[in-house]
Amino acid sequence: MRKFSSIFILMILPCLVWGNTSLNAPPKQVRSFSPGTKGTVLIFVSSLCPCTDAHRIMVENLMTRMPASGFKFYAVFSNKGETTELIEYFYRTIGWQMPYILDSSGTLQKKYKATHTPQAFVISPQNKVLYRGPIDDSNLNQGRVDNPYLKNALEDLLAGRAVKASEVAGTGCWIVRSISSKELK
Amino acid sequence: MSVVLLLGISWLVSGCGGEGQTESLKEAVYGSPEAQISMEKPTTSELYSGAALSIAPEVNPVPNAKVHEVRLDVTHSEIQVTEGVKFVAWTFGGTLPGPVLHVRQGDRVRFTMTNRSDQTVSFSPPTPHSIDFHAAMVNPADKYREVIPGATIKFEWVANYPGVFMYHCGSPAILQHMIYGMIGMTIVEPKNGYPTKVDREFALVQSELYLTKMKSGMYLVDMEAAKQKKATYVTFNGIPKQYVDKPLQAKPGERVRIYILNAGPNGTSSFHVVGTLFDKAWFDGNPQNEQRGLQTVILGSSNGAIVEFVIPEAGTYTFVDHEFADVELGAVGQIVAKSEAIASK
Repeated sequence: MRKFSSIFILMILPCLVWGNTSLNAPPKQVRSFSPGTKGTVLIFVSSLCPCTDAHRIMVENLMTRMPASGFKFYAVFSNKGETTELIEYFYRTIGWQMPYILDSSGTLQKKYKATHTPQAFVISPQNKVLYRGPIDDSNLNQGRVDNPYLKNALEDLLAGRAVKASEVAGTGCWIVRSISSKELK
Repeated sequence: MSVVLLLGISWLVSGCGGEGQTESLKEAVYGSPEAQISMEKPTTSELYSGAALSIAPEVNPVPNAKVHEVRLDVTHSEIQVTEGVKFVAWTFGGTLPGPVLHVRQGDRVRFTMTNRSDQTVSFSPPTPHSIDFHAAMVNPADKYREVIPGATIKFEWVANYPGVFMYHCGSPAILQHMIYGMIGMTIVEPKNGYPTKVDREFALVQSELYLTKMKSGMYLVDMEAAKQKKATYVTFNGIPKQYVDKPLQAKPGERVRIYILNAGPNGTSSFHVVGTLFDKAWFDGNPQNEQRGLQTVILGSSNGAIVEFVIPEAGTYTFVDHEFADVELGAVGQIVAKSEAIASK
């Protein structure tokens, strides 16, 4: 019996170690994104904006399904004042595993004209913006998703179709950079 | 026998608020003009204005008017909780809790709120906010809608019911906005005033804070702790144990009225004053909901009450949330009763 227990523990040990390492490991910071074969999903977020929390499950589900389909996911932190410590705290609370880019210079924010957090962009391998807008509308409906904008966009692309709703008005916190109020409306 | 039975039924019906309720509803005003949202900028740097507002524990008398112009702007600002503990709070009117709004049953509130979170971008991202007045009966999808940073909302409502009510931000995640500090109290006095006269009044808002310390020494609002209902502090009027350090004052023999609101967002409050009993307790602050001789009033999250008691003799009367874990986290204060004159504010 003891022998059996030892074998069992040895069998599950790698899973336990891997699991804990995976959950507790700090998020991976990258300098820039490398495009997925089908495209790249950039999600602009802020460690101090509460609006992302409403979409955590949706993003988790997409991250489980989509990378195998050729999409890569990155979080982008473009707000002034973001630090590694704040970002790591954000990741611990949100539970995401995607690598992140600390966009201190605002290069990506300016390039893609990101205005809100959270705001998702789907970029083609040829660097064309195929979707720009919210992850979904759950923040407007007490958590009920009526319009899974990002999911719809990715499914359209996987089906070889043009994205039906390729641009949706942003909601959430503002990205604090030199954005004109005109852009934000 | 049957007459007694009929009388009994009649008493029960009126005692359950049947008659009074009907009277209240007869005078209730339902519906109000659609809320207006614009990019209108406030013309003042004051974060709140209106004679009906005061900062707890003070309670201003209800202004002698049927219509109250009230401004409560949203701002992000640093709040000192205790020695060495500061965090960036989101507040109504720049205070935690927001100012106490005091009106009379039947009065109309003309409300204005600018989301000034676009003015503090150096330390906090501008965020959409809203306000939900529990004292109002309005279409939430209209009056309580989100206001983007820099925008202003205006709407009206009529205070149909007397009571001690909560107001709070209703933007998602509501829990997060509330633990950031977006809470406050509305007192609606009965149309013909209270049935009792008191010598002194205080407003107390009980609420929890959920904070976590970063390596840098700064404190952040801790949403995970809030979801697990593990408060860092439980406070009266935003600061733990502040009325132990600076007790409220009264005189022996005085009748004291406390407007108490449990803003939560998660915990209950078992409000108790050591050394006296509540001669009258009006659940949710409505005199029709009267109980007598209570030791403790129990308030779920967002419930309010008015408690009245006599200070029996000179001494120190400690008030607590009798769920004593909350006392350890700061839900404790004192009323010191001395015969000598009390210094004016």
